[in-house]
Amino acid sequence: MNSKRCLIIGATSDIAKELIYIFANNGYSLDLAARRIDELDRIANDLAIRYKTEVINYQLDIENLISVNQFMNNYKHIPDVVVFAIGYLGNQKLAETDWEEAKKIIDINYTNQIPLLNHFANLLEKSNLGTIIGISSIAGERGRKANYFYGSAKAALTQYLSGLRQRLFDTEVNVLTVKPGFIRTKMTSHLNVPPIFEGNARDVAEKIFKAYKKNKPVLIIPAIYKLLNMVIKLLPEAIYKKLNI
Amino acid sequence: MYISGWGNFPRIHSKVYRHWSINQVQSAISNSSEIIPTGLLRSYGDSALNSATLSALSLNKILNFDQSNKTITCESGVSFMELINFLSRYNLTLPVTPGTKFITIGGAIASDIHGKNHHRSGSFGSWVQSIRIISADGTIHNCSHTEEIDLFRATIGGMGLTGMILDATIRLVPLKSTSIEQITFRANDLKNLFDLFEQNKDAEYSVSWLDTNSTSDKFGRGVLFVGKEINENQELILSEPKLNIPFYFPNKTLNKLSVSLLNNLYYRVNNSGRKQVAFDEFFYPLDVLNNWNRGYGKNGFIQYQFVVPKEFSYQTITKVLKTMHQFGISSFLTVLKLMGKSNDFLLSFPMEGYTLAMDIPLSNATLELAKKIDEIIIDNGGRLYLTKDARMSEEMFWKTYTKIEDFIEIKSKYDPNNKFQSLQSKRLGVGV
Repeated sequence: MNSKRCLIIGATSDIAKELIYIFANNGYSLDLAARRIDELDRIANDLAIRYKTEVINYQLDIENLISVNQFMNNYKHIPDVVVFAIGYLGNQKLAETDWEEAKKIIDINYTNQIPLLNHFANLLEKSNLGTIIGISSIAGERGRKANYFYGSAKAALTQYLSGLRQRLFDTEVNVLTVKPGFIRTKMTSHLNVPPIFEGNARDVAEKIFKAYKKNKPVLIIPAIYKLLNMVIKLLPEAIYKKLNI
Repeated sequence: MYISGWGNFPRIHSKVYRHWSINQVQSAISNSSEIIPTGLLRSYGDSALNSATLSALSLNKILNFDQSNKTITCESGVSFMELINFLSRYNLTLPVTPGTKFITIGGAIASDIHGKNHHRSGSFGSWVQSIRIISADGTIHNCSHTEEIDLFRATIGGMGLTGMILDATIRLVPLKSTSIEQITFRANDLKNLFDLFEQNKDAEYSVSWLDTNSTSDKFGRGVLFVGKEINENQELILSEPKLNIPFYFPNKTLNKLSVSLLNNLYYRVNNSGRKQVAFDEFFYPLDVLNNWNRGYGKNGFIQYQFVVPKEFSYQTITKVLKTMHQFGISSFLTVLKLMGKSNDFLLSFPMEGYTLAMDIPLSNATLELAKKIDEIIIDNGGRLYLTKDARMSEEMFWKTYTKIEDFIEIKSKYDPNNKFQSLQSKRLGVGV
């Protein structure tokens, strides 16, 4: 029997790198797509030694739609799992005055992922099997002054995935939306957060894999954000707008 | 961010660079006026601390595995746990392991670590075939017993002061057994404990615990654990810690009374006899408890580990224990071991003789005691383990590490501007 196939888009993000090793350890073959092909080659060599994993690397620059189209043309397989592990926090302050930065945040976190999501949703729907995992963010639940460009793009992604899940309800295709809270990664290395609100990429990846195995629809992690999120969503706007969070 | 060694003393703010690409590692070095490589921060004191640190944790790939020649090449941030788990699938293992599996290959080389088989297998450095290292000017050196030998001799045991280790090739040994037959001998005094070590010097693994509180006819009593491989091969999966200490205990938790009770209890529960124990349990008993160092409280603790030549070992350890009694200070996690011969690496710790390691909560009295014991160690031709040290004086270091001048000559060749420095190296005057 052939091993199951997992495609990871944005494979060099910290959460993706942990996920790669969990999928490999569970016998999946891997297709990895990211901008930095040298980093992917390094991972592929290591995976071949550690798990004898078959890995195919693809160059994909999510900022560039030409590259996105090229990738879709080059990619000839029907994966069992597709993971969207793309995130760009960007510079909120800069984006408030600089459209280039604002657009970049929106494109990477939402717009440019849509052709890929459409493509793989259609592909899996046709084969009537598989899972789409989208890593969105808890920041997409309610806008905050600290990151509302990032947050609004992630909100759009969350809503897209929600709609897609409804569309594919009658099929054997599952859609998992992951909403991480604050995770200590290279994307967030400059931020300071109290340790109880902080997760790490390894734990997130393990929980994602478990949720995928159980066909869960939504995963909020670390768990403390479930509560936090509930409270924050219940606050009336008249109060929320005054908060310095 | 704030970082500290395993002893939680000292604790400092450091700019942490963490890269996998050679270009980025090079620029981190060139952008810093001084920097020290780090790994999983299991060294106890200040040897991996500085205002800028270069973490190896993103250098976490296995580069090559040669099953037939029994060698593995991996980057410096790969952990012992990962490697031992991986190698067990091929019935191979690392030749030397310390008391924790949460260390990196780079750290093992820089500390020239030793284990329960030191008397037979030597230290980790003797199993290193070659090292690739980036020196201060960004040059990549390939050093081994045949190439750039001087750099090789200075890097093994060199505490990261010669440059950033990128990767290394390590010789492996067959994994004979995934369980260990552990034979326990209770020794009613120090003399008895020494005799037991002598009687068991052919055993594959040996280590003992010692009661620092016991006096009069029980003075220096302890328990010797001897390990023998039994030919039983099951799948070996070393595990993450099962229990966690989620917060720091109050600073006074481990006080004179509680340590004395623990010591008494520990002696009583370890009866002489033999039993079969798992690999994880035999080699890494403390790894079960995540963050066990928090048990010593926020003030932290020091681990004082020395080695003295065999002929002076008994008198030295007697004097050390008596000095501790005078100060009213005791240690619970006390480890005594007979070491084998020393090697050629310039700052390597082991020498033929007994090594004693003690964990003591930090206080002014502890530091005073340590100074007193320092004198005993110097007088008896011993030295302290740099990987544990947080407080040794410059004078003691220069007296006891007799190859330090050769080391500095080599360091000045590869690091003329003294870029690779730690708080420890500055304290010990390892300048150029």
